Amino acid sequence: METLFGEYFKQLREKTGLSLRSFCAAHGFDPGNISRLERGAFLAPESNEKLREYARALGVKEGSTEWIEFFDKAAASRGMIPRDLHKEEDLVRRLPLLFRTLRGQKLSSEALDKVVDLVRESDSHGE
Amino acid sequence: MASRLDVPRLNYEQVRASANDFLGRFNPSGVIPIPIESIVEFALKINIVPIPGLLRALETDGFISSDFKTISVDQFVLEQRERRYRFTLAHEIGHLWLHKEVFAELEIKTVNDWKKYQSDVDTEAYGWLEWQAYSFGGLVLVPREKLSARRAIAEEKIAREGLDPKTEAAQFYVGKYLAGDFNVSEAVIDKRTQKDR
Repeated sequence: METLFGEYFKQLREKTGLSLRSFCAAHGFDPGNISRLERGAFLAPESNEKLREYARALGVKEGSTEWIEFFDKAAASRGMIPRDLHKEEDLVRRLPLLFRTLRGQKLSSEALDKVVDLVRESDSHGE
Repeated sequence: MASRLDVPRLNYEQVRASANDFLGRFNPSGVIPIPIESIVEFALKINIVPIPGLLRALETDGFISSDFKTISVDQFVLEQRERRYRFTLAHEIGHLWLHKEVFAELEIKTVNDWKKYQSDVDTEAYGWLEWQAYSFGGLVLVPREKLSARRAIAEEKIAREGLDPKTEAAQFYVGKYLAGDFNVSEAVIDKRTQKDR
């Protein structure tokens, strides 16, 4: 389940027309963290300064209705539980059906475990 | 749990037809470079998941998830290798566009099921799926008509500078020019050129 804030963040980014890569490159954000935020694996930051930085990057005008909505949704999202991949069925949905190394080889059992670990970490919220 | 895949044996022209259908739907204006990132993130609503160290640890640039809702990609490739990143997205979308039905019958519910499927899956079938997605990626990012038109412009430019466009040296510059035009690597331009001959 995505948090409302994450969805809202992505909608605002879509309005800017910037892809995740371009948005993060333009504003110096970490794409892994922005992706987690949008997918609900991270909650909205506590820091108002960070939120203001995000809002400005998303083109939200200070003092506008959208600005207020942005901060309201951020506050509301902090009461939610971040989405995680603790449930095995959710984790399995994120794993690849097609996985080939650059040399076209199948993965060993240890490498398959590594895929699982990396996918799990990509949704980790640091707890 | 079945790991046998019923893979369609599409040839290059059939993959081209699918790529053209895709472009007709998602890039009707025909703009180049193809805005593959916007198509993936905003039109197809697929989330991008950057993974630090994916390429180093597992020798892969990225993969699409089994529910086709996320594309995981090596974070370095995403941040520092734009052309390679764009190709990774186009390749993975090839699996969505061409192969989603192939996997519809699989029932993978646990990590152990998934590991067994990965170990048992038929290598030849896998090879077909990868070849088709690879071809699809190139055909989406570098459509034939656009390549032909842009090549003519590039060769005209080269000729105006006094080089015979048919020479190897001139073709080197044409390749560089086209790679910039389509925002892909020169290797992709080379492969696409060979296929269209």
